[in-house]
Amino acid sequence: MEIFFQLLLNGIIAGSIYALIASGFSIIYSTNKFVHFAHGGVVALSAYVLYWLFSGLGLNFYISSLLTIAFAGFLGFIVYQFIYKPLRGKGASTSVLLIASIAILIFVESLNILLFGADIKTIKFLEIKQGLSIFGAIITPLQIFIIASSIILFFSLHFFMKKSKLGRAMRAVSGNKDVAEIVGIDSVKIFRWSFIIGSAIAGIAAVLVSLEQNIQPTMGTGLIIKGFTGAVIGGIGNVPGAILGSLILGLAENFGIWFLPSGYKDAIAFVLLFVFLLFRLQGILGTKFKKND
Amino acid sequence: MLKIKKLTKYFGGVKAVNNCSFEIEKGKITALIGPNGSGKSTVFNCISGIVKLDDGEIIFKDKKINGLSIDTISNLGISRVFQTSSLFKNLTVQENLLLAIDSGDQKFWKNLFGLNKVDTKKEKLVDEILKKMEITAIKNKPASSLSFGQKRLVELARTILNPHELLILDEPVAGVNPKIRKFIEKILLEMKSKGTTILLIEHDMTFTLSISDSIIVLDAGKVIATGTPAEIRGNEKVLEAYL
Amino acid sequence: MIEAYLIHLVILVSIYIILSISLQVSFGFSGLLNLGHVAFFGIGAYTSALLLLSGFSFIIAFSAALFMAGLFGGLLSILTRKLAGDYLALTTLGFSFVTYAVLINWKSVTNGPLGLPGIPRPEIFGFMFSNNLAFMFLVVSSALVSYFILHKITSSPFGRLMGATRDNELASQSLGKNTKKLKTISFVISACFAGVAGSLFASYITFIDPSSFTFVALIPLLLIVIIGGLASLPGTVLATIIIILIPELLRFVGLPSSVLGPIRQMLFATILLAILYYMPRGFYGKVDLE
Repeated sequence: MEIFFQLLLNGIIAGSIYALIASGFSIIYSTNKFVHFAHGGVVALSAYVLYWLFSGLGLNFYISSLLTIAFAGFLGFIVYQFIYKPLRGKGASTSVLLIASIAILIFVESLNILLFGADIKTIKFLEIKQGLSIFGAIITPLQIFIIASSIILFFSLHFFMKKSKLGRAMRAVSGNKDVAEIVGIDSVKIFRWSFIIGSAIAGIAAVLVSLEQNIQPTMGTGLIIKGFTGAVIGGIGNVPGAILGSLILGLAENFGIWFLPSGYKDAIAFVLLFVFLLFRLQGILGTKFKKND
Repeated sequence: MLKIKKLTKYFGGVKAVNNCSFEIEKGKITALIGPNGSGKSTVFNCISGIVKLDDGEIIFKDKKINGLSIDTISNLGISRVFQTSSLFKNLTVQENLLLAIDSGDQKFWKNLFGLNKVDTKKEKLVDEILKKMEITAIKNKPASSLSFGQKRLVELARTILNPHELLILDEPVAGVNPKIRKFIEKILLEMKSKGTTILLIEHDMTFTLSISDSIIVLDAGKVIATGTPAEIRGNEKVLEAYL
Repeated sequence: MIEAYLIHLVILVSIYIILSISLQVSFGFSGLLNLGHVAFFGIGAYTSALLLLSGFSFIIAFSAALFMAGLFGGLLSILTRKLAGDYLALTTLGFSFVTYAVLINWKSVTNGPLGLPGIPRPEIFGFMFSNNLAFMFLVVSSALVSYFILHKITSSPFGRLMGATRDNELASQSLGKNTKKLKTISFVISACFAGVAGSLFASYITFIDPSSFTFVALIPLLLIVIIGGLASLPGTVLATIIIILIPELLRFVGLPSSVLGPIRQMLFATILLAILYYMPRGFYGKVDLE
């Protein structure tokens, strides 16, 4: 029974991390209608920036984190403004943008290796505190914080998308760009903001993942695959779906290795991705990929 | 030759085609007309197999064809011109036309071992129709470089080359200049004299009334009138629908 | 010493030519956005290596590699029949992830991350290709034969039909063509030759592990296929030579290998982005990238 609760907890923790990635990704996808695979690269590079600020320069951790989040948002802006926007302007299809995003991801990860080396880095901020025990399962304060963050994020995003002016504009562009423009929404501005906000969330993810796990140059690839899978499972067009799907993924992975050797954790994610893309493209909450331009 | 029975098709909550029934007589030119949104293109898409019926049947030469794949339906003898240009834009005009008559191109092994030599007979057929359409000059040009009128002519040529007994044409003269329009009219009448059955959608009333033997009027997915051009011209229901 | 290095380059380029022209067949000629091509390379390599290590002859191992890669290509194609564009791209990419996961985890067969060392060089009708020069001739002939076969197919009416399916699948179907079958055949051919490249690769390096078959390996391939020009086999060959040789030239700049690897990738990624922006048709391409 203890095992069950431990796996449940581990699943929720993993799912929360994936949800952080997936929600930023989903904001960008639903607004821009193409797959920004490089989102993982934004996470990875931001993690290294945190490392550099905190462990390298010795800045206060909280300040480093805020700067990291700001950097992430800025990086998202740069990628949109100087790569995607020009390509879009040349009439690039979503498939071309997908290929471009893969190129950007590879570029960023190689940059990480170049600047910081290929070894694993850790952020020594939290001491290994004694975990708390819930129903016999162990959970650390950081992990509680991660789960709480994703819950707060979920509600904040929900509130933001529904009530704020920018959020509503983003939904308008997401629903029908042409109509949104007719009513006076500057879609370029919205695209830009979706990248900034989505990438800032990636920055938050970078901070938490760095604390909970560690920092590796290719961490972005693994994370975006998980985040993307979560988004697809839940329904790629919408943000709540991405979070739901990520939780399901986290649980599936952790319960899956109850039966399979632990190395197969990633394989579970890949297989789920593959199966959903083939048989249930719209995910659980039912928003289909929008058709190509 | 072609029977549409109680055809019904929904798109979302909208009934694009609503219990529509009509028949096409062999060897004649029939026009399907009606205001925008009356379901004409949807009916065509159902016939071609592009869209699945929600209810009803389509019978071609006494055989039920709804539910069959697009290529199967084509091979049964139905050939189609689409409303929007559907040429193979990276292929030349000649290649576009050869595709219509070369059924050997699907055989992988034959092609690998060079047993599917490009038939001079087929190339001759292509040259003939290019000559007839007066577009021999553009034979080796990529389809993407053609003018709109030239594209329509090549599409018509391609559809005609494709072995068929029934031609269905979706707005064959829309947007073409009067010279080409007259030309297409001539070609269609020639085909009819050779025994081809033609079903077309057109908004150009002059063209339609002059070329058709029979007219079917659609409104809101239902047939509201059928008859000869003369009968339709004076039909009140039709005038109402168009106003 | 220079001679040995040149032989190495020729072998590497020849293997990559087979890998990239096979991708061009599905990507540029048939319009299938197959981002999982590296998986077939890996399946071919592992099939061949495992059979060779179990004592089978090279001819059998090679044929099996071709067959297995083609088999999986066919399966993947049938599964993804209804998909196109982005969806196809992502699903095929997903397939390459699944393949990688299997290679890394199925330790009893693939030996996981430790890989398979000691793959014997080919022995064909008693002749041992252990000498690199001899192996070079084997690989170059394979590349020539592969090119010849693919050229034959793509310049035949079948190739014309591939182009038609790429340009407008609906119109092709309206002309009575079974495009689903055509797409599967293209996919299978593409995968088969990737498997061939894999078999040759395994026998050359004599050691394979999953790290050669991650999706990162896709970037130079995509770059080659696009920069050489979509639907152009000669362009693809030229691009392969250039793209494989550039990083080799970097070696002489005297950078440490820990730096060389990432710089190579960054270079590829940048050139790919530039090409997507400035010349999506590539140098010899007849078709726009879509």
